[in-house]
Amino acid sequence: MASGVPELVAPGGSFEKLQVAISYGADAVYIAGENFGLRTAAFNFTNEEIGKATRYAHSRNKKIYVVINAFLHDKDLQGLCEFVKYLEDCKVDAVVVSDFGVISFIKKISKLNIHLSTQNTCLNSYGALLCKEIGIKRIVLGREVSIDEAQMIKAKSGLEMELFIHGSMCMSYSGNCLLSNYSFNRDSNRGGCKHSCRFLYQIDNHKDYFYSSKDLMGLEHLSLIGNSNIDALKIEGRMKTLHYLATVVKAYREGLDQLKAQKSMDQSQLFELSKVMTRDYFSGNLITKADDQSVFEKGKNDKTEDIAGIVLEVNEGKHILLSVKSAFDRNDQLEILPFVGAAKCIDALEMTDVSGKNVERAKTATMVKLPFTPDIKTGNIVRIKRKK
Amino acid sequence: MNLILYADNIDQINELFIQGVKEVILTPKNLSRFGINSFDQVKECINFVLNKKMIPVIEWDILMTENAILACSEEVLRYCDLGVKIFRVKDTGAIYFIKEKTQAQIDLIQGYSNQNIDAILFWKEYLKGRLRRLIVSQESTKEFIKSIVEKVQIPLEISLLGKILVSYTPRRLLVKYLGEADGIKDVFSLEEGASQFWALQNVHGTFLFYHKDFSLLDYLQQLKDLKIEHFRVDLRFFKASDLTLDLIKYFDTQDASGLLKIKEKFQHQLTEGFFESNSSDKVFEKLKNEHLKINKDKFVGEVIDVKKDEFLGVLIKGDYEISQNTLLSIMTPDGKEKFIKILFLKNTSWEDIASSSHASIVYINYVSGITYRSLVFVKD
Repeated sequence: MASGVPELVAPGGSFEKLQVAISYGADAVYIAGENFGLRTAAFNFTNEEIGKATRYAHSRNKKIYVVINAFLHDKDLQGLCEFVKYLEDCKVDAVVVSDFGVISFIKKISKLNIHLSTQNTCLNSYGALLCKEIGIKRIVLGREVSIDEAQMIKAKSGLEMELFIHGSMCMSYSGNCLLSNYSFNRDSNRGGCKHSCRFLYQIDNHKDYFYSSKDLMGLEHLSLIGNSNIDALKIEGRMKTLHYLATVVKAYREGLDQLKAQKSMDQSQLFELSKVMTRDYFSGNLITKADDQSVFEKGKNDKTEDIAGIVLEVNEGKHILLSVKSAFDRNDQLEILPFVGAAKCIDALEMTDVSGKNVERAKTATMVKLPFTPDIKTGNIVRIKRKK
Repeated sequence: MNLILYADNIDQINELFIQGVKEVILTPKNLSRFGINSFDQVKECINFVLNKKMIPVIEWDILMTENAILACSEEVLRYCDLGVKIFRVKDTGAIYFIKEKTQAQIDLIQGYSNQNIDAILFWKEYLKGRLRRLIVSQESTKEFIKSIVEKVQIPLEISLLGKILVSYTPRRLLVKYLGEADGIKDVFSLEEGASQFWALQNVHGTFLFYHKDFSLLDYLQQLKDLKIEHFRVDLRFFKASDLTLDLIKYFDTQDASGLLKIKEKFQHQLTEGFFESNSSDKVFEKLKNEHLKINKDKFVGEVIDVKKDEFLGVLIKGDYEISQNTLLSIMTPDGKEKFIKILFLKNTSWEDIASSSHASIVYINYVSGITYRSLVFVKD
C-alpha cells in the first residue's frame, strides 16, 4: 500500500485485456500461463507472452502476478519446475498459488514472491500465521471475510492482505465445490468449472436459481477500506469482456484516487458500474454476512450497454481506427470511455472501412474508421449508448 | 484394523463399545458441519468414551472467518482440558490453532486440496510428530492412495461408506422453504446433463450432497492389501437402526452375503466416486483451441479485419516482417490452413507500404475462408 491507498489488482485474460486494465488504472494485473490455472478455456498466456506482459507492465511501473491456482494432481506437476524458473527469469512480481504442495515446491527452487490464492480459503488470522511461517507474502482472503475481519487478520499476522472488491462470487467457499466434478466429470479445482451453481433447479414445486450468487460490488465501501490498512483490492474476471474490465477498473481507480485525495466519492462511478453485465450487485460479506437475499434469482443478466469496440489507432486530425467487438449502425450513438474523466458521446455518421468506403453497419470482428475526436487515445473503449 | 464411527449420544457410544469399536468421532455443534451437540452434551460423551477406554476425536471441520474462530477457540481448549487428545481438522487456521495452542494431535482432513504427494509431504513436515493420520478424501484414486502409502508413510483413514459432500456455502439458502429451521430438501437440476442433489440447511450454512452415496465396501480387501488400517463409516444421515451392527460384522468377516444385506438395507444408490480412475481433466484439451496457439516458427500476426473479396487486416505481433510477394501460411481458428502470396500491402491510411513493422496494422489481399483471429505465419 505504498501510495496510501490499496493496490488495484485487475484480471488480464489476454494481452489485450492486460493492456486495457493497465490503461484504465490497474496497479497490478493477474494473468495465467497455459497450464496450472483455473480458467482452462481462457486465452491464457504463452511463456513468451508472459515475458512480454511483464516487460509491458514494468515499463509502466505496474506489476504482474501469475496465477498457479489449480489444485494439482501429481501428473499435473509436469513442467512446473521449468515454468517457475521461467517466471523468476521474467521477474514477475509474484505468483498466486493455492496448493501447499506447489507452494513448498516453489519455495525450494525459487525466490519468487508467493501470494496465497483465494482458492485456499484463508479466512482467519491463525491461517494467516501459518502462511507467514512458511514464507507467504500476501494472502488473497476468502470472499467470506469482512473488511473488519481482514483488518484484524492483517494486524495479527503482519502479512499483506488482498480483498476481493468486485465481480462474480462462487456461492460455495472457493475451492470447496465439486458440483462440476460429480455432475459433468470436470474438475472445478483444475480449471473445469461448469458453473453448475448458475443452473436452474427445482425444489418442491418451485423453479429456483437458489445457488446462484449476486455479484460483489464494494465501491461504496472504499472509504472504510481506506482506513483498514488492507494492501490490495482485487477485481474478479479473467473471462470477462473488455467493456467490463475497462468500466470496472476505471470506476475503482477513480474511487481510490478520490479516497487518496480525501474527496468524497463521486456517485457517477456507481452509475458506470450499472452499465456492464451483472447478476445484480450486493456487498458480499464485506460488511455483514451474506444470506439468502444474496441469491440472483433472475437467472439471466439484464441487458446493458454493449461495447462497440476498442480504439486500435489514432491518426491525429484524420481518423480513429476501431476494432469492432459488437455490431452497430451508422445512426447509433457511441460513447468513448476515456482513461480518465467522464464518457464522451460521438457519432458514427461518417463511418468507413479502412479503404475509405462508407459503412452502414459496422460488423463484429472488423475494423472501421471514425472521424478523429480530440482526447481520444489508443486503447480507449467505445460503447454503444443504450436506446431509451 | 480400526473402524471409526460417529456418535452423538451415550447410547450410541455404548453400542459401539459393545461391538468392539475403539475410536469415536464426536461433533460439537459449534465446530462440526453437521454436529448437533452442545458443549455439555459433548462433554458427557467425552467422559463416557474415556471411561470406556475408547478414543474420543473431536471433529472441527467448519471453515471459520476471524470472528467465528475467536468465538470458538475457548471451547476447543476446554475439550483439551477434558482429555481430548485428537482433533480432525480441515481449515488452515484450525490446524495452526491446534498445533500452537494445544498439545493435541491432528487427523488432517485432506479435502479437495492436497491432491499431490508434495502437498501431503508438506503437511507431514510442517506438523511433524503432531500429525497422527491423514483422512483421505473421497475423491482420491486407488493409485493416489497407493502412492501416499509408498511415499509418505503416514497412517491413512479411508471412508468406506457415507454421503458425498459436493459443495458448502456459509449462506443459508433454503430459508424460503424451511424458514430459519434446519432441514433437508431434494434439489433437481433442470439443466441437461446435470445432477440431482440433496441440500441440507443448518446453522452453518447450506450443504449440497450428491444424490448417490459413497461406498468402497466392495474394495475393502484391496484397501487392506494396501495396508490401510483405519476405515470410517458415516451413518449420520441414515436411519436403518441395525445397519451399524451389520457393517461392523462385515468389516470383521468380509462375508459376501453380509455385504449384500447391507446394500439391501441401505437402499440408496452407491458409487465408488473416482476411486478406480479420475478422468475429470480429460475435457481440458477440448476447451483449449489448439488452432489459436502459436505453434509454428515465423509468426507474423493475427487477422483482425476481413472484408470479403477486398482485404484482410493483420495486426503484426511477431518479429517477422512481410512485404509484397511474401508467401504466407494462415491457420484459421477451425484448423484450416491456407496459403497466400501478398499482392498488395497497405497501412491503415490505405497507402502502399514496402514492409510491415512490429505492432502495426497492415492490409493485404483477401483470401476466401480466412476468418477473424486466424494466425499468420511466413511460409517456409
